Amino acid sequence: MASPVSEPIVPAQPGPHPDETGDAPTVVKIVVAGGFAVGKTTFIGSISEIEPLSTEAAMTEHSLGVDDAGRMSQRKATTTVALDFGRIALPGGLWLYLFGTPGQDRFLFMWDDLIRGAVGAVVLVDTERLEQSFPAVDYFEDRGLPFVVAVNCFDGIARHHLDEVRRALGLSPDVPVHYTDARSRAATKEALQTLVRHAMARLHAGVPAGT
Amino acid sequence: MTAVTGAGSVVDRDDAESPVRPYALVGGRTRVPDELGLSVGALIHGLVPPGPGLSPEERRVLDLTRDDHRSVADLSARMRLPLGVVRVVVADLAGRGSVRVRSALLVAVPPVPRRVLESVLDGIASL
Repeated sequence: MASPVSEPIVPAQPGPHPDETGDAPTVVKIVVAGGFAVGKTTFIGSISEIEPLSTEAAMTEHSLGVDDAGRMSQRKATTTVALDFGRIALPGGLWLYLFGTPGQDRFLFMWDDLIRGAVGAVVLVDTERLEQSFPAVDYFEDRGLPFVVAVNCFDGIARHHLDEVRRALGLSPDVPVHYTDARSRAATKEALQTLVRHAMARLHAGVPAGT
Repeated sequence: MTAVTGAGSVVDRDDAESPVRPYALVGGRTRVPDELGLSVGALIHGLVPPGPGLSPEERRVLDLTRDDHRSVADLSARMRLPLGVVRVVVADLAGRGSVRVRSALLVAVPPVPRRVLESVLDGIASL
């Protein structure tokens, strides 16, 4: 079990960015979360203007374990986390980055960096391996980051009803759940729009962070 | 798919290959000042041409950021170096005034301001 090593999220600081007068684009981020092989890179690639790039973050992981003598021990290990991303230039000098990252428990520590300044997250779900999305859902609920659940229909086949998915994940009624096809640009567009609309609705409703 | 400025679609897989362990390049350092805001989406812009006395990694950052802003994530992918290593290299350059760092933060999360969300929504719709 990893503990976050990034610094905690700081409260919002109102006012213009100090460098807002520059000619640099404004970066906005959307996180694409989901378990192994759920289609994150495909999802990003379906809409990105650049081939999805991959990088890695080597992080120190603090892990609690049981040593050979059966005692609880605390260990440090270095782990490498793959991070895929794509970029879309939007009118008005906006660069939308999509960051795809594994959703396993032990990788969550790097998300504190990713979600800072992020619009929200798309949790990609494979209904055959629903449990892989539990850590991501827990994490975003805990951090108060707007997220939507997109059920990736492999081969275009929906195997589970959306209500079943909502129930299994224990989602609050306002969290959008929909089908998607990670290979389809139109479906990916729709998923991203659903997320942004959801973020706007939450803003309008005045949902505070961390609830 | 339309190309945007500086958005190469191919990562050069050869020129950054090195048998040196990445963290040895930066003397084992992993921490950079928080106030630099060097998150994965922070944009780096080179202010000076690569001069003498720089490490190969510093030269590469200045080359890559000379005509365009590049994110920390971009640099990491193109240089084939872990994010943590790129952060240290960029922090060193920023400390000497060789690059400008524009933090990706509009405001801290959450929430992203409504006007930005509206622009993003309109922008995605127009794709």
